[in-house]
Amino acid sequence: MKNKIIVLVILITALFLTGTPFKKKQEAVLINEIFPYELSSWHGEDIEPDEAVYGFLDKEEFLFRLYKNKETDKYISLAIVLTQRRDHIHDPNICYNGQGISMDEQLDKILDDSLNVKFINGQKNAKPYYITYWYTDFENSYVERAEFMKKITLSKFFNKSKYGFGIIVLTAMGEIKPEEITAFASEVNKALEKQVKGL
Amino acid sequence: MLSKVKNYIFEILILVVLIILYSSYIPVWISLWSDFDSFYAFGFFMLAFIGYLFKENFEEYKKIEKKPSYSWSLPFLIGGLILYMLGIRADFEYFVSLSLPVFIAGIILMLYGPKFFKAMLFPLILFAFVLPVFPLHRITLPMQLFSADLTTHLLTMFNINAFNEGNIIYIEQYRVAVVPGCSGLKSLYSLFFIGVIYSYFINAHLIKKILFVFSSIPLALFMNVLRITVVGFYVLYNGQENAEHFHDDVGLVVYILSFGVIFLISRLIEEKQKEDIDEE
Repeated sequence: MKNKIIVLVILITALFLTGTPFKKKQEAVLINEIFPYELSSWHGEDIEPDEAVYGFLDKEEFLFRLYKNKETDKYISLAIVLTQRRDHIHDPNICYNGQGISMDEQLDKILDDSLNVKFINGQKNAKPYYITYWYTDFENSYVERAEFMKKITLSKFFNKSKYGFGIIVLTAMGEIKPEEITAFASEVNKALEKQVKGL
Repeated sequence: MLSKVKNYIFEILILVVLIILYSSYIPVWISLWSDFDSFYAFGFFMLAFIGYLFKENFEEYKKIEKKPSYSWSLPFLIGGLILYMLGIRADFEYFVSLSLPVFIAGIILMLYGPKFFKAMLFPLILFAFVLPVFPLHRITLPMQLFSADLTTHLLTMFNINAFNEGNIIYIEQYRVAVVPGCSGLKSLYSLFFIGVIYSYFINAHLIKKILFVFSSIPLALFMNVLRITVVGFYVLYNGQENAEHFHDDVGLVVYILSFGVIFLISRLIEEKQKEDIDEE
């Protein structure tokens, strides 16, 4: 009898330590609805992602757009994933390796507004291919996935994840200057913070 | 009937609390087992096999001496609690899934003891594998790249003009994408567990059974590369129209062939076992 009570006590402890019966699912921020299509001189249009994306991301969690600069006619692709689920955020290097993009040079940069970004000089089909990405918890920006995952673990464990967690990826090919990409990155970050924190 | 319920009231309470603990995950697991495209599509089949094991060995289980053990059970119960807590609070879903078989191990040890637990170990391990306890999707891409690389090598050995960029294989003017569903991981996982179930019925030493089970891994990888190569040939001579249907048909044939190979290997093992016994 004593051993059965011990088992019950441990299981009920698990219930109360996690608040399982009372846990409410956190509402997703509908990133595609709140993020602006116009960003200074850039105009964005939604792109339909590969069907495989729907296999591991919920529709309301991601945004895929192609932004065109109205003055220079240059293009940058923007992908944002904003989620409460850690397994929905992965290192972009994984995807781009799979697409046959060679990563020739990787740099950590700090932009004007203290935004930490990873800037990658790569190649695809012998053409220059630039990737810029960062992770955010809307308190800080991160470039290393391990560090970001540690932050997610602590935030979630102590129930401090207010806005969710995001990864922002910009990609551009061909005749575009790296400074144009990083300037766009700053615009994206400002807009994202404004929209998400303003909710 | 009421007196029987009274006798087992604690066991019923334990079951109810377990169901509450995993109430939001049980529907997810059921949907994984019901989804033919998921890694766990063999789940119901495995549960049926576990039921079969219980039915076949029920009388043996009744005879085992039940001697509860605190020292063996508490690490499992506390371990299950930590896994569950970390899984729920820090959003590690695999920990939540893993905590269930760990809890069950602790419960068996606490209520029935180590001898009974030893008898339950095989069905418990099988049960653990129908739950998403590993982040399998993390090895999908490396397997896609491996399959694409090897297929490209095979095609060039047949003097076909092919090269790959990541998981995309370019064959002449066509392209074949080795998508996550073509990585071979699903067939590897299911063949592995078919091997585990089949090994239960083979008359052989434990080491040979283990080798038999693990032989399913290179078999699944090779068969997947073979499938993609055949699709590559199809696309080269017939274009990309209907390639997807052909890919599905070839997949089924290759899967059946894999079963055939597993069956052959099991027969060879049993023949060898018989020879070894005759020699002795």
